[in-house]
Amino acid sequence: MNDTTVIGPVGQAEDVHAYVAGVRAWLADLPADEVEDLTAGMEADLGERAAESGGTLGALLGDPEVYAAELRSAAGLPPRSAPVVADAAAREPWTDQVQRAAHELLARYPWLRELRPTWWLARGAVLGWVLASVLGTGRTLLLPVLGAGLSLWLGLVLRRRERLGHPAGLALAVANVLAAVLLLPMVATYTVGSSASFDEAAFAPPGYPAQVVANGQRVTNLYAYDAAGNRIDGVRVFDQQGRALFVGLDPLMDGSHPELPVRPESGEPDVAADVFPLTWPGHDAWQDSGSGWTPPLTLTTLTRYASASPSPSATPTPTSTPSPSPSARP
Amino acid sequence: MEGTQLVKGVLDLAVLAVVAREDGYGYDVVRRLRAAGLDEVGDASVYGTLRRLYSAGALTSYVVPSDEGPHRKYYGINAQGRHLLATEGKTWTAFAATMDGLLDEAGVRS
Repeated sequence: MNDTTVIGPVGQAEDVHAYVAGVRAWLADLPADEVEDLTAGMEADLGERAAESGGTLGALLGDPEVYAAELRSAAGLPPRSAPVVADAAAREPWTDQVQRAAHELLARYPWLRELRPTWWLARGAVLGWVLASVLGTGRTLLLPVLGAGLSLWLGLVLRRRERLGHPAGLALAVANVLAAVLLLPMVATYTVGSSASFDEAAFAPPGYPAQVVANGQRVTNLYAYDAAGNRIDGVRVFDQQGRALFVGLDPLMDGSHPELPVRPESGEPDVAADVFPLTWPGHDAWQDSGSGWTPPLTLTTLTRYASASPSPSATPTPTSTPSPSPSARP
Repeated sequence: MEGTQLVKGVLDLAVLAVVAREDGYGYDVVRRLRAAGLDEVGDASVYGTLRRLYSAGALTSYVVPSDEGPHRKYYGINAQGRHLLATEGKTWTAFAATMDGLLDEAGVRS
């Protein structure tokens, strides 16, 4: 055999090669190893496809652009960040925006990397503080200190891995954003002393309810999954002071939801804004979020949590997994 | 309702089921899904799904070198994938039974 790939006529091999190159070009904004993973074996597969059907791959599968978009969507990757960044950013899930922004920032200012352990400590302290507040244990030092230690350890462990899988990465992104948002309130609480007087005075004007914001962008919906990876409906979320989180409903009024029930007296949507995911009769709460992201049917089971705590869901999920897990516990 | 929409919802399960029988490379999985009757399934959707299931830890993957052409990338199922397949499969079976019952009552059972 010589060094060239001969699958059917030479013209076909060239077509396959060009097609794969085209697809790669539409994936070029992803990390290199991601592109490598996605396209490994693609040439062989598409070569076989072309040889079987004859004709060009463009005619069989559509343009490389369309193919790459379908590939990304099915793989749970963000849509391509096109040259028109603003437009792409609007369609990109916010967690990906956060991660991408973080990567870009680190690439531009490498010294930030050295500050990361500090952030890990702060992050853990904030989340420990949140937990302490939720549990009503007051301004205890124990949980923040424990949280800081745990977070530092987690950061050191994860540092070796370039990119996390989707569920873990998402959880981490949520934790990071939450910690970043709540860092200031925590510092203020510890320094000023009275959390109540601080919150109303320094943040939202009284009477004007603050909404959930992530990365400077309004959060318009939330999708929750339990430890078994199943979707949870009817979720209510509270912050550290027991205030229910809710979202603004005005984005729903853009005319894309003709079935949306409306309060006759105010003209506002008749939808509970603090129960997630948002839902109303005739609307599938788990369909495409309108931002180009469809919540997956399930996530992978968080084995550590699933086995530790009884599942609150009503459906009887198998509690023990008899299959031997390959992950050896350290 | 569009067939493609239906397939989208259960593609994870379908891909897991196919790979559980025997390891396969991307196009092989596509072909087996189509042979099973899922004509609507898109090539790229299957590749993307394989990749996502792999990232989620439900599949293993290995590259098989070929001396006459480009390498092939095979996917196989692991314990976590089998567990996912079993639980998702149960969900699907229950759902399908519910739909059957509804359609029976409406007298449109095929």
